[in-house]
Amino acid sequence: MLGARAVQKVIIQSFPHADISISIVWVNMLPLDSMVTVGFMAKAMQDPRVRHFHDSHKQVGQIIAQSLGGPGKVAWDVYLFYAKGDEWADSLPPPTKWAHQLQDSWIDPAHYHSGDDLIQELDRAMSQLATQDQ
Amino acid sequence: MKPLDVTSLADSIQPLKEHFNSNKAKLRFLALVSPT
Repeated sequence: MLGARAVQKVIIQSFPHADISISIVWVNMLPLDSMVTVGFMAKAMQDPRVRHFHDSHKQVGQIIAQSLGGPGKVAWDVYLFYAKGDEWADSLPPPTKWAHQLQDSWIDPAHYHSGDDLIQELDRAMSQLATQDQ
Repeated sequence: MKPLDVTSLADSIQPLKEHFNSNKAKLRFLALVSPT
């Protein structure tokens, strides 16, 4: 939930006029994760730029892991930015900027940001990309 | 009140892929997170 709150605080609330498409994929990873808790969180994160998805089979986590150099792994708690023009053809393209909160050995620790550090990293990335976009 | 719209990917990830590609002209952000 801390990651979702970071997305709400930075991507949605701090940049209300940014021309960005926001996809939030909810995934069941923890014991209390369910469609009920997904519904509660999604309702709290309503914005015309946001679309919510629910991945009950962790398929998206596998696809993202592969795009980050972890074939066969399952990513979650990941935050990815894609540049204009990037297309998802046979595979998801690598992100232009990204962060994660995982402590797994397969994922690049240079992109690890947690808690307030995640909020600051998302803000840095968003500030830079929104400026480039103008 | 408008019903909450959460698209299930249980059968296929195609809706996510189509949404990603249909917004190709924009900066895109994708988060994969737990709700709790």
